[in-house]
Amino acid sequence: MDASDDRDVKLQRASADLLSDIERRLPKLLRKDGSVRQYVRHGSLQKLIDLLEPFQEMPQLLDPKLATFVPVIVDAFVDFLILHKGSYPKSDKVKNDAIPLPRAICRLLYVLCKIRGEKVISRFFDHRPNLLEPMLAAFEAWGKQTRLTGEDDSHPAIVRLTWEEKYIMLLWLSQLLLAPFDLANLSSAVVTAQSLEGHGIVSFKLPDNVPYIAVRTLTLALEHLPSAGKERESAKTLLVRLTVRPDMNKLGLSECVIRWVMETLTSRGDSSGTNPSLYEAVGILSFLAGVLAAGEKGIVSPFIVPIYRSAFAIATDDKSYGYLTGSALGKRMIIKLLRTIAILTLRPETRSAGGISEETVSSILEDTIDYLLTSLAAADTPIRFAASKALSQITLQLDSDMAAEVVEAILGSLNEDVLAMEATSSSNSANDDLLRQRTMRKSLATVNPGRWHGLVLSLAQLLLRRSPPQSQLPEILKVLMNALTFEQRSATGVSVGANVRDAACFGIWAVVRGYSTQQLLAIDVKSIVRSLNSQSDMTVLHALAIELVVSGCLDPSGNIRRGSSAALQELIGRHPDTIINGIPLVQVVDYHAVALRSRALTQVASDASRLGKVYWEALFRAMLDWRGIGSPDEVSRRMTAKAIGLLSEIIDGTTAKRMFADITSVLGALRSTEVEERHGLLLALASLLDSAIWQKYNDQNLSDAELSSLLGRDFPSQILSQVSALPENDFVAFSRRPELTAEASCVLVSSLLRRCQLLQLSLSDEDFGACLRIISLSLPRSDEVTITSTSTAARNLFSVLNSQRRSDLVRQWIDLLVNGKKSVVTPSGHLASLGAVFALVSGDRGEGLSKDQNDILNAILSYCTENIAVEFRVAALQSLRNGVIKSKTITSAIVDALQASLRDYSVDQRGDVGSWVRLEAVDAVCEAWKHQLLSDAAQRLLLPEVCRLAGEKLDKVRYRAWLCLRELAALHSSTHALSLFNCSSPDLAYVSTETYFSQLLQLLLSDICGLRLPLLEGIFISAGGGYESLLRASRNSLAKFVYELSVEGGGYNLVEFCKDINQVIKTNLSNDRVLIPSLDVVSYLFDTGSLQRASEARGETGWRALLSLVQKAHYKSTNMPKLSAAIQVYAGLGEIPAIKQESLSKLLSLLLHPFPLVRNMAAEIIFTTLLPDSQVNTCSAELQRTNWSASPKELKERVNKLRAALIETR
Amino acid sequence: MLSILRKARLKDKELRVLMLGLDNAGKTTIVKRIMGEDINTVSPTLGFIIKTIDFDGYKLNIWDVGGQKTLRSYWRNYFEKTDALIWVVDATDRLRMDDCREELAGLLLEERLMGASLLVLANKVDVVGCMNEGEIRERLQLDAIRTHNWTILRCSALDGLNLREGLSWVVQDAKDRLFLY
Ligand SMILES: Nc1nc2c(ncn2[C@@H]2O[C@H](COP(=O)(O)OP(=O)(O)OP(=O)(O)O)[C@@H](O)[C@H]2O)c(=O)[nH]1
Ligand SMILES: [Mg+2]
Repeated sequence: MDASDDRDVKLQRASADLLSDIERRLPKLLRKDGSVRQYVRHGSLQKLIDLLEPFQEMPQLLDPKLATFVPVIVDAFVDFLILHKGSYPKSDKVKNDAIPLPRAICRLLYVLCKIRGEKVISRFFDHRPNLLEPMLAAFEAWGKQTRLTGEDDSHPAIVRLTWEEKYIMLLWLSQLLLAPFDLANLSSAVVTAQSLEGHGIVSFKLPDNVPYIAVRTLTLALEHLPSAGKERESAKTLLVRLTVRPDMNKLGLSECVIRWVMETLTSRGDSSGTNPSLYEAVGILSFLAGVLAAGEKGIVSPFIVPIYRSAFAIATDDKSYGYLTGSALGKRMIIKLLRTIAILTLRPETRSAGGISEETVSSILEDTIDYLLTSLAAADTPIRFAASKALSQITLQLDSDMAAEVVEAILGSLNEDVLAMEATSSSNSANDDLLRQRTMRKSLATVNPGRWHGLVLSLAQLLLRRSPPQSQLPEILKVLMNALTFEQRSATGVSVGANVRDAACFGIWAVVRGYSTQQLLAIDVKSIVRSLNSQSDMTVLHALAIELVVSGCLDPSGNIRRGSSAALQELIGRHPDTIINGIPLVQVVDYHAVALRSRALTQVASDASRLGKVYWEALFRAMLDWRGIGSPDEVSRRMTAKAIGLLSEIIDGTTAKRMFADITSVLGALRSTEVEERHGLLLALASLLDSAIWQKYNDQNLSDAELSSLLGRDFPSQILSQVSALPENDFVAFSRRPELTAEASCVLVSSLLRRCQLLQLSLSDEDFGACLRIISLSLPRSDEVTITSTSTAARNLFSVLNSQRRSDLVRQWIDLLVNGKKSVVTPSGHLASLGAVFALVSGDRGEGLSKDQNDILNAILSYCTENIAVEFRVAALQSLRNGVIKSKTITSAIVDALQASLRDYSVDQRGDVGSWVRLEAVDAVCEAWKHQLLSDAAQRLLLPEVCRLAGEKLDKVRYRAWLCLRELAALHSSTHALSLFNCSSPDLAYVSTETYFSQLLQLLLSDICGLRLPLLEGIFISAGGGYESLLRASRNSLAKFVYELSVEGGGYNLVEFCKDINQVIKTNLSNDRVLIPSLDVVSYLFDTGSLQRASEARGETGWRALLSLVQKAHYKSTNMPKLSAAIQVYAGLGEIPAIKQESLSKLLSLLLHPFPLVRNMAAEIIFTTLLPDSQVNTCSAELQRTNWSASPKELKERVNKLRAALIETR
Repeated sequence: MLSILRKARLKDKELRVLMLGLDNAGKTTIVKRIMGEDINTVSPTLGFIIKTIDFDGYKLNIWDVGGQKTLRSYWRNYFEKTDALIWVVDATDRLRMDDCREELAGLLLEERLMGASLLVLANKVDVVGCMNEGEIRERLQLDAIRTHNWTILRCSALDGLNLREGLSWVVQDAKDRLFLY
């Protein structure tokens, strides 16, 4: 979830290192031997940026170094500028890896601006006014140059100025324009209207005597104002700076610019002309806002009203300006402009300077506020943020009466779409409360969540500045409390409204921080708390604290839980001694503790509810609602059920009984389609039954009267009535989410049966019937959760049934499985349940298996065969493990089935589905080992298979096989060969390491018989066909192992190993899955030179046997990987003197193989490795000259010649 | 909400100040004195109290946490992004100086306080015969502190001596480190 605080801490610690690293790299990047570079390496630049990026999280950490960093960068740019302002470095001269210095610098500066804000960064730019001219000149020249060459195809490598360059240079220019003396002093040249035409802005009528430098600046600014990129923003800043300069104003340029942009914006808006582009319009709007905010009153005042008129006209004219008002960017700019105007007109000095009448001001304010209130509903979050910020800023400038009116308007809007649905019930039971809560939520079902977010956010911002008067607090708090639990479900069931709750949390935080204890205590709690239960003497602060506790524990969003925790802390710290158990409460609902939902919901909620009945009540009630059992995901519902169980442990029996009643009545009120809620509520009931609070009544032999006073009359039937009437359809129909109903019902049945057994409570036949019906309805389901809960329910049922009924049921289920194989679509549930009851049908004799057990076993084993679908084989094995083996039963039939399953390599279009079977089988073997059930004979059968799996290429299989071997090792003394598995820690990554394979290979040295070949097979598969890193790890360890073997004598040696190789290949001649990787491994071992060490000791027969095996392996094969592997082995064998000739001869015959690829490979091998020295000259030429892709017929003669030369020369 | 608050904190120049120290050191009295509240009504703090002091254009959110032994384990709950730590020492309490030193040393190891500066206030110097600055410095081994920027001031909540100076130091330090621009 949200771990940002820990990140902060980490960053803080790392920042010193990062900063010094940056400081070290920066000068090197920019300069060499003191003078600026022309190019920098892309990698070095990126490295620096990577060092800077982390500071995005906490920009202030950069501050102490900014005064060092930025000037270093800026100076380099200036030096470069002076040297190269006339021409930009050509990037086609160098490798792609190099970036021209200006581009690199501007990227760096942009990154800094992004992190720390352009205002802060730009103040470090070089301010010397005499830079203005060169900077302008460079921008013009570089821009032109790139454009010119861009058209010339012979220099396509030259790219235009990047947006970062434009953005930074324009920003820099705008900084230079802050020069306090007249621009005329910087350039003597002035222009007339005509001279501007050359710059492309035709429609612009310049006043006289404008300095040339200003014209050039203006040109650049206007040119980039309509850009789509970020350079638009700095073009705007530049234009604003130019426009508000006193000297420009004096010359009339300011007015001229403002008029011109207004015209561009509006006059073309009518039907006659074309609209400005979106970005042009955005640029102009932001320019206007900028000018109004920055300009001297005297300059801008006359324009305020006209600008307002056009802006408002545009804002409300969706027909002509829809492209603008409909874009988030455009709309935000309009909002910003209107905000600026509204705030300006509120200042008396602006009003008088611009001659704006009171009526105009109030109409501007009214229209603007109205517009903002509407904008709060926008679908785009940034617009809502902008509107709410604008609204609160304006409101803060208003006098208190008007400000209160705005708050009134916000509150009014909040209530607009709320459906009138006052709950009529007047009683105070928790259940009615709950219904009221639900009614409340329904009444909010039609409000626009975006709008609520915007409105609540605005309230919160106003509260932060303490704008609303105390008299409005009750109404505001009422809204905030509702908003804190706001949620809607979309048509697809997705939860919306977290942003509303977040804003509410913010608002509450602001209230408790900004208003005094007295002010808050003065509020009548009845005016804000929607449901008044017994605590009518509660204070408002306490009511708030309760809501925050609930949100902190239950809200699905981590940010809101943490926000609530922070707000609670603020509340309790600002208003000490007002909250029951306030301090412990803060400790419990701790900021860090609530980060994880499961912990917040269970542990934190339970701890908090111990601190007061009020917290308990509020939490329990909220758990029954949308944040608990009404959660859209089943995981949260299961967690809530657990949490409700924890709550029950805190209270007395009477209250627990009430919890039953409450849950039952909510269940009763559900519609039959509310399957998810039912799932949650049934699980909650089950959790109550499991609760520890009943512990003390166990085995007390309570009388019926006592029991019914404890739990109510007919307790089991009461509980069962919640599920017994469920229609069969709910367990079948896809649309009804049957898996949820099946799971929850079975869990409930389980818990009930268990509780009845513990309390020694007898069940009626009807009750049994109801339980059995639920189980039977759930048995056909195939998902794992349901299978688990069904089989548990079955076991619990069996433990209270008499033996006759048990037998009957077993018979019935077996019948379904064995005789009705076709009718049972998914037998998994039956298989699991039969396994689960296995131990309970043992009969009385004690010795050996009962008939029922035998029948169960046979039924399950009949599903372990190959003609059964993989899924069901898996289910059968699971059942064997969980039911049969766990109850310490093993038979030779089971061992056989396990052995076969360990070798299951079934493949279908889903891939290696046999691996699921192997995995289950390994786990089953592991279980058997754990209980020490396996005889020596059984071990001899199973251990080699497990060893094979420990080497194979699927990580998961290797891992579980390894765990299994560890289990076995644990049973043996430390001298046993397997004991070396004991030491390492269990970790999935470990089984892909070299160490692991080396350890595995050590087993070859042991005397455990029958294990060598399977183990080698397994490892060969990884070393010959594993994925890259696995292949490397297994090969390396294998090579090392073989290298260290002594050639002859002394236990396992190289000769033995070579024999084993032959054996592996021989047994797998028709099994490509093992054969091909094995051939690959053999050729690899030849490559490493290890096998050659046995060249003499192995003897000619041994090698010849291998040669003939290889020959058999590829005989008549068309499998290319196999052929290629075989050829490589021949190459290796060719290095064994005893059979060099035969190998060569094999290869020579392959030169006539029907596949051209094979012929080429063979030729290559002969050429590179097998030519005898005496023949190198003659034959290599021949080999090289020949086109081996030609048809074998044509080649025959040449091959014969080669053969004659090579073989006969012996 | 949390990100809005973070931004607001930066914009409004807010500081989070943690005020800790053994019980009876005078923390609550100091806060009350600065706030101009009645200092005759203080009683031991059983939890924590948050107050905001406007000082020199900055908003100091001061968390005054009770110093009784049973509450000290709670100190670490408040360590979230703290800008300054004010450690109040009762300059008349010679007996508990070892306790005081150990608690402070333990606190400075907390990761969440890494970025905070430390102001040690030697309080109650209006009392005759109290420890002087050098003695406190030595017994708390302040000179061994390398991890935090620190200073020590004598003060008195009773007559207000050096309280504003203390806050000035906190604010100045924040200006140098946190609110440069
Ligand atoms: N003489 C003198 N007495 C002081 C001074 N400051 C505080 N005291 C007294 O010291 C006692 C404890 O003050 P508090 O402010 O409650 O101490 P604290 O540090 O808040 O204690 P806890 O809340 O228990 O951690 C009170 O009786 C104060 O009157 C001071 O500067 N001089
Ligand atoms: Mg105190």
